[in-house]
Amino acid sequence: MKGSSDKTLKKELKELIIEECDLDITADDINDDDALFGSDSPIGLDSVDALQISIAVQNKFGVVITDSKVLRRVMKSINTFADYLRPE
Amino acid sequence: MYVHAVSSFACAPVDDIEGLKADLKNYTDFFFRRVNKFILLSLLGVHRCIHKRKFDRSIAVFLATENGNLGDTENVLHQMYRQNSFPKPFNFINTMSNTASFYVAQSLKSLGRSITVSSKNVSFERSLELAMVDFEMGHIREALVGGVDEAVISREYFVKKYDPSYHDVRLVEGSSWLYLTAEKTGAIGEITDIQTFTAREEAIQWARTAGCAGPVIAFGILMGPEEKEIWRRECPSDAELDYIGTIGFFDTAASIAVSTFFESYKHACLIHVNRNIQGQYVVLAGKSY
Amino acid sequence: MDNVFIRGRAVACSLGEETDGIIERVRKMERPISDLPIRIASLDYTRPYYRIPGGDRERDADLEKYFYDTLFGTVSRAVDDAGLSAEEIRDSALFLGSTSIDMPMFEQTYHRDGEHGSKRLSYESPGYGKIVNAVADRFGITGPCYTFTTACTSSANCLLYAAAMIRTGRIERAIVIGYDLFNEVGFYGFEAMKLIEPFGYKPFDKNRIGIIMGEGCGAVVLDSRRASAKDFRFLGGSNACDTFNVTTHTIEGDDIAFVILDAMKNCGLSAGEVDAIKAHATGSPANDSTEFNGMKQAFGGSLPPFTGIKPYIGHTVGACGVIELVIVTESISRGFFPATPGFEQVDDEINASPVTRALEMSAGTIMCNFFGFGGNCTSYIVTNKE
Repeated sequence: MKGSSDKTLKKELKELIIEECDLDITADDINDDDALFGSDSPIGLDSVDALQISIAVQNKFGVVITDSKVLRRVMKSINTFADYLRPE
Repeated sequence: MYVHAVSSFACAPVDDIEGLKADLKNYTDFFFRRVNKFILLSLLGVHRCIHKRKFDRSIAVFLATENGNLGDTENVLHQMYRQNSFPKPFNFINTMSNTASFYVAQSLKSLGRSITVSSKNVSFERSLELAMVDFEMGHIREALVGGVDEAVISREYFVKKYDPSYHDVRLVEGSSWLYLTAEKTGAIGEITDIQTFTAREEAIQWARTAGCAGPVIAFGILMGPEEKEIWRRECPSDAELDYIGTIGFFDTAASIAVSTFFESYKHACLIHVNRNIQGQYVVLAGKSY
Repeated sequence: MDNVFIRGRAVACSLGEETDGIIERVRKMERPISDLPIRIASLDYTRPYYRIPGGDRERDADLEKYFYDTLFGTVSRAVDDAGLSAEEIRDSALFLGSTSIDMPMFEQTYHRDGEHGSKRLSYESPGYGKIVNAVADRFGITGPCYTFTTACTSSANCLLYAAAMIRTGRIERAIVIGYDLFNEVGFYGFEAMKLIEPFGYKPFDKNRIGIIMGEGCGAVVLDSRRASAKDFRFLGGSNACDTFNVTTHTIEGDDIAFVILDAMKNCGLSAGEVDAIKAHATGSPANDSTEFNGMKQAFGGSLPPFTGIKPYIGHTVGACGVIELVIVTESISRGFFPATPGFEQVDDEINASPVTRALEMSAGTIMCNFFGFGGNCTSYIVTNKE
């Protein structure tokens, strides 16, 4: 099953983001296709948030993302993030 | 340096920072994310002090601390050596104690000095000296000077480090600030001077002339019972402010002695006598209007 | 006191411990660098770092002893260089700027002592002031002690306040120290933030990727009296907090420009009177561009030649305020203003061109800039012109 089809994985990711970035929202407040970064994003994460999340993901899922550009692409939305962690 | 407002925040050791966050919301609507206990304590002390006041954008921030961000430094060491993980960026950034003075400046939208300074046992007095020099040089017109420290965790170590007569003192989280300006109009008092002495006699001699007749006297943590007796005898006072006994202790508690004095005494002089582990006396003189 | 002189100085860094030798290597644009392994998160790669040469065996055998030997050795050489008498040493004030303070020792405890070493830091909390007190004890200094922890501007701010205290007559002289020894929190912390340049230091260059860290200790004696006619004067400066973001500065460099202009104002100088600038020049893409934007704003069309010192010795974080001052002033004392090694290609986006070949210069008024974490901006000015 692709990551984007796995509701449990996506909820886990949302909770991880909320916890690591100290957000005052719940998992239900993040839509799967919402932009996570930038000015058109409802939660508006920044580059340090991205690094924080990448280390947490490394610790939890054992996935290392070293290139910042890849990091930004992977973390575009919850769906792209989940698909990167589990492509199929 | 004229004192226009003070804050004296102290509370029992905090595990969950949500309470501090909620308290802070009473004073500022600025949104804080990724902050830790040390930063929240700093912000709470500052906003209680400056709440509803007009201040200049060039306001300087001098944050005195003995230990800084202990909690997040511990977190980073734990991540690296117990979890085999890179330090997490927010924890890493927060290990640098000047992030606290950064968030203070950011919440005030200021563009002024941002200094974090420490000096064993006398950090608060030393931070006031730095502000004093800036006022004297005409480099600043307004400043916030405060002492911030997380509560000492280990009572055993506390007793080993300080005077055993304080074995039952309350150990508190503390953040206490003075809003100082170069303007006397509207002030509630002033910080007259701070001097350092190696000999007790010289320190007493200076204290006698620096305050008015019958000042309020207060003692730092390293002033033991015998030392206090000598001072009480040689430097007569009208009242003694036992802030460590009544409020509790944190490592920059001298700040709360000064703020409490300005909150509690009108038309009085303060002599605060502190010692450091090198045996020097650092005496602070203030006056309330 | 109208004048504050840099009466004595010493440095320990990747270029060595002896001033003549260090400046000779700067003249030759030497950049000794090591690759350090990343030994965390089960990863296996290296990142460059500027280490103090030699002493590896001593460091491994007894880290704490090595830490204090390096510190005391540097202070001792600076005090000798200034020719201070025993009384002058005793009466000095002490300033120490550092980012990591005694972190190397806590890391070792944590690492070596397992669970037993956990929580040692927060239980014992010796305080930031411990290190400078050790210097006071070792040299019999009874003056006031100050420890500044303002990240990369720590020791630059020490210089500002030590000089202001001399000028206002609160103290006669100060020994000002910048010290950061290798520590894993800093090294891994920078790597976690993807700030480390893997391919060779090149501030302001089009292909710059980031910072290369270094370790070092620098000490100067600031005094109302000079030891020799060659001593530089410390004219003053400014500090302010750019509150744009905790890790980066206002993109247009507004607040950086403010600090630069305020420093000149406090020194009674106009832009045309600054002969050259030692930039902070960390090599981080964002930092270099905001710094250059700030410089352009402050100096307009009359931007003096500028250089970066970090490619020689690495970014010595809290210590760089003192170490880079010594390297720049001692180079000028020997007839040149150092070039920026590693810079090759102009970045069209910012169009900054630092000095790529050393300039002949034996007298100059130099601005030194430091713009670090926590928005901390510091700028100070020194001169050896009469």
